[in-house]
Amino acid sequence: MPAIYSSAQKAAITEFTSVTQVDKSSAAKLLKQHNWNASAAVNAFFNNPSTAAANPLRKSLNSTFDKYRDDPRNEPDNIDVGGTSKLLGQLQIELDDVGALIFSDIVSSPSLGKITREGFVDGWAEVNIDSLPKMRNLVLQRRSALPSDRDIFKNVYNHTFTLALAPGAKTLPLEMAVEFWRMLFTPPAYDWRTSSTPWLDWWLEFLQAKKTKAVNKDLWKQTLSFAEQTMRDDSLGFWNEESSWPSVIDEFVEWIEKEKRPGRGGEAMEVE
Amino acid sequence: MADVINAFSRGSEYISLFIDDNMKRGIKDKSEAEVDATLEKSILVLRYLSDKDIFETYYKKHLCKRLLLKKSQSVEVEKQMISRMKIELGNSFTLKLEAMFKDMTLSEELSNGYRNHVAGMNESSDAKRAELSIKVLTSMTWPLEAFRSGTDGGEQEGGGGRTQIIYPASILRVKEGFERFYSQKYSGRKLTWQNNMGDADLKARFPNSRHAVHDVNCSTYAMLILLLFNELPTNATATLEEIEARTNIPLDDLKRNLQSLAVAPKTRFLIKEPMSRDINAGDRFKWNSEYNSKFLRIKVGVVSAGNKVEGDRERKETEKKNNDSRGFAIEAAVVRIMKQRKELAHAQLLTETITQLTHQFRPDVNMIKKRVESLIEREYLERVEEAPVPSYRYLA
Repeated sequence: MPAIYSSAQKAAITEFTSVTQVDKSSAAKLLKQHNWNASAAVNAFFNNPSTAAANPLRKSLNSTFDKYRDDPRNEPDNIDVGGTSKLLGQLQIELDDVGALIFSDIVSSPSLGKITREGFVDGWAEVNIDSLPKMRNLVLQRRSALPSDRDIFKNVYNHTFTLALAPGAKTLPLEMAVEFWRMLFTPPAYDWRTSSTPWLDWWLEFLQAKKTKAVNKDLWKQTLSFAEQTMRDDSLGFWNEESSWPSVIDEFVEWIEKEKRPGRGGEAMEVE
Repeated sequence: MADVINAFSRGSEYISLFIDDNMKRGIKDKSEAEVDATLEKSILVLRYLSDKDIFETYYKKHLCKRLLLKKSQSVEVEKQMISRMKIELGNSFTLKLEAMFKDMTLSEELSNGYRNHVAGMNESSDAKRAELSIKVLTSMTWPLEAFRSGTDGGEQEGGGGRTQIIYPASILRVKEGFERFYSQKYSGRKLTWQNNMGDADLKARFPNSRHAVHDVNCSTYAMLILLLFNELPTNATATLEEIEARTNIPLDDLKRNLQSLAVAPKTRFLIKEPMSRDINAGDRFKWNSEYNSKFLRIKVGVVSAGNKVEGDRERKETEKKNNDSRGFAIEAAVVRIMKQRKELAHAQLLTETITQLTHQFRPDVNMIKKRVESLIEREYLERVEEAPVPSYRYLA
């Protein structure tokens, strides 16, 4: 999971890397030691460069990365679709499995099938892994943790939206969103259903009935919050029309009350 | 009281119409105290009205027609009403209304200035030159929808495809003269002529009438139609289509004006064939040389020029426009609040937005939510992740 930095910290990292040409996570480590003072960190770096750069783990990750590049001459710092599927094949991760999404999250893929050197090296260095078997293990470990570990699932879920966006687009076409929701909201990932309610099926049925065309980032993220709430309170007691849900979710609730649970009446709904 | 007033969705329109009716007729022959009482009554009802923004829209529209069609009994009373509203509803509410009065005063000065300017030119010896009394209206201040012709909306104006009216040379000269005069005074401003709101005084001669010359007051469009017949031989006829082609008056306005000129018995300056109430395609018109009237001054009425209750379609349009402007007002309020607070809980943002806007209208919660959503999408706001209660953060 990539660390989250404040904007001041990000600025310090940018400044540091532009002077030293060191990758971001090493930069962050060094900056942290110097209380996010970029010039102090730069001084320290040039006084003793070996501490930061000469990291054997990163060296080996870099050479692993090199092996899968599609076009080393023109794009030395990118792996494209071909290389990605080769790499995933060797890790024995199916492309249409949620494991591929976990992998993409770890290496911060900017879009489907693409990996950058920085994302790859930083991502694996952060969890201290440089061999393929260990990579596979971590993906599998996270895969089985998806239903129970909220943080891991949330990161994969949120990153999936960015991953699936076409270049320059701000919203996801509905068909795409549906496909990824199916992947993320069914086992082995997070199973969005309760004993009485097939939530995911209803959600997708509603979106299709409503002829929704696109899903924006806010709706994508709020759908997860909504899913979590429904798992806790199947009767929708947490919802009211003044709460902060996006309007599509409000309409979903109204749709349920009209189409799926008629007669249960808005406010008088009872929690069994 | 507030509940009673606001239970009726057209309250704002009717209050404005009540004032409109009083300004046009009601206050005639009334004492100052009686007028005062009427104004006070209106303000009292207004105090309880929650849709003050819709009221403002209607008031602007009604006031606009009163001023331009010279229907108001007293400009003094109009101004009194405005200053009462100012006390009751605040400065910002009456800003545009006051601007309308200012435009009227400026226009009078302009007309005088232009008259002097013409008098100073060599052409002043030309007694036949038409005089011009102009109203220059700031387009942002005056409600454009009031300029549209009557019942069936403003299709002919839609999309900026305004038809270019064809003026006879005598009128064109005055129009262009004023445009030159105006652009010398205020460079960089653009004048758009609102012909459907104007009127004209003409001298008309009918050989068989009791008076040698009649003073005729009619709409600008009716003037164009009458001037057209001046150019035709006495017994020549013109069809509806020919008149339309030679003046370019929008068909609806043309029909309405022809109805006044060829159907209404007291102002039948034209003879229509075949004779019937409605104006239809292919109808032919000719000069009515038999016209006779005992009145020296004749006013040609224009059908549907007054202020009336809106039709359903018109009302829907007003509502839509109003919802749009409410949307903007809500968005502006949300941004103002968030800019100041940086981070705020959802429920609190709703409350503060409603508080900020109650003096204009009562905002709908769903509408606020939609605007917040749109602000998130456009990255002015973001949701605060993992906040204990749903909250937003302002993104500078």
